[in-house]
Amino acid sequence: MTSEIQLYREKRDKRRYRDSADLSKDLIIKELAVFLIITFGIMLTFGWNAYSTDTMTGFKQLCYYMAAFSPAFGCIITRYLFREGFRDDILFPKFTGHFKGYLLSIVFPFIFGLMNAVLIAIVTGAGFSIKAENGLLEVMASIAFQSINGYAAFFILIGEELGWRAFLYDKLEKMLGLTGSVIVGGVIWGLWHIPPLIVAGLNFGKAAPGYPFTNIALMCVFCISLGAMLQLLRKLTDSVIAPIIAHAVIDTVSNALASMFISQQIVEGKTFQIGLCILVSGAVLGLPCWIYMSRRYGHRRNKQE
Amino acid sequence: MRGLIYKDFYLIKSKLLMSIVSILFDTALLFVILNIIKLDYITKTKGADYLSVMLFFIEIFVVIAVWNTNYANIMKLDNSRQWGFYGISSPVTEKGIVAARYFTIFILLYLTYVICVIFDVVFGLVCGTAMNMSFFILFILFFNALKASIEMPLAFRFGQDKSTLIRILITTIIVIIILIYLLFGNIDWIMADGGTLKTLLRLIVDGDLAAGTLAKEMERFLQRLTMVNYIETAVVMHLIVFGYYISYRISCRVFKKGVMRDDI
Repeated sequence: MTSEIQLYREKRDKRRYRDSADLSKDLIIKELAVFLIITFGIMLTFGWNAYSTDTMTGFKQLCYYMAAFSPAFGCIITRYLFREGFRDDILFPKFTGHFKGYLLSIVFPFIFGLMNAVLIAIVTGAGFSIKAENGLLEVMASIAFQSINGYAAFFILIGEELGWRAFLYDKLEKMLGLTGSVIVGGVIWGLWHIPPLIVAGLNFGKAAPGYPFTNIALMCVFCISLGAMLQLLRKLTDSVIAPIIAHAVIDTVSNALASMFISQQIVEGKTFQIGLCILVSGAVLGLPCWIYMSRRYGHRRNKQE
Repeated sequence: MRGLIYKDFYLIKSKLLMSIVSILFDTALLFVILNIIKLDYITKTKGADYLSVMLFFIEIFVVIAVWNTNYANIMKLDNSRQWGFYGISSPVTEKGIVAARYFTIFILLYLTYVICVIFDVVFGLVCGTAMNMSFFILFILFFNALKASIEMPLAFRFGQDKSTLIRILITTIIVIIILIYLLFGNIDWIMADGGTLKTLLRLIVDGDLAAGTLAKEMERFLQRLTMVNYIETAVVMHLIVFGYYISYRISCRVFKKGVMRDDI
């Protein structure tokens, strides 16, 4: 009878989901390895087709969704394999007491977009006048349309943030500390963009000096700074929803804001310079976030230890 | 809060699964019929527009089957005083209960959208051209969210049955106002040559929906949208999101009164 009870308890313990806090360092390394294999495996399989400049076909659409959701697949499969579950509660929005974080998830991307607009206008020599045919109305319409698009982007970016902010950064922080997690996480996130960087010349264009290696290196730097900002939002709200909102606004409204003072003729052949402007804006915004995060959350971790 | 969301979904699990299975079955059946009448022939002669029209109607059916049906089921849950007392006395408090219900509704909306995107991908694979009808469905889901944000505080305050009656009353008043406007107002934007109603009438008179007229009309309609229309649409959509939050705040305030009401 006792052995039966013992057997039942062992079985039950095997089935029970672990808390992420209970995981040992070895297990975290294994988890990270599995996560990276799945995420990069899917991205490198489907990403080349997904971001190609050919006409949008049904298969390309499938590839796009597979690539965009590869971090989420990695996270879900890894958590399932290691019986971790989602007990860390980061998928649920916690509005009470976290209003500042949610507000910043809108404010930061707006600052980022405006900084981009100013820097691009200076670097390309476009000046601070609106070049659109219908003036301010066209800019406002573009921002409005992109803000509608933001809701659709929110759906797609769950796929990314579920893997990065809700899994990778947390695990890396346990291994390497806050600073290490931001650097290594940013590099991994940047490397994940290799297919669009090579196929579509994402952000820096195909005419960049030292293409594609320069593009990959610069993307890693960009992802480190942007990752710091998004990770701060994740920590301020204790939820992954705020980084998803911020990421969606960056990918939609910030882009519309950034192209406020430019036209197609002005940017012709200047993709690399524009990419550098975006990189600088990201660094200017990301660095204070990183310092603030280190001061506020780095010490707490040390105290806990 | 998480436990309450699990509970809501657990209680409607079988109904939710049934609605998803019924959609899959209907779509599979449709494909079988289309294959019998030669899908290749249709796509070659009529083009991908034909399938995009079909996809649009299927996705509307998805909204009805997954969202509308299960939304009604969720709203019927826990409509008793005993549960209300239990909920208030539990550590989650009334705010937690209301937040869980609003989050459940949001997850259901999201699930509906995900299913529509999956349908987009499957149809895109079948006909070879990428399809994005889910973007239109997003607008429909936003208006469903608006409907939910009006109905939910009423349901928390007066109970599901009375809230349905109030909703019917509100709908009737709105319909009467629209009728008065249509009879006595300026309706050039609907009845003029490029107006919405004329477009619909043309579709019915032409009677050639299968040739993808609807898709072409939708495309033409989108092209006709002015910049002001984009700004208006964005403002309306953001207001709906804000309205959903305001609705949550109102529901939190009226929840206790709803539990203490005399008719239960």
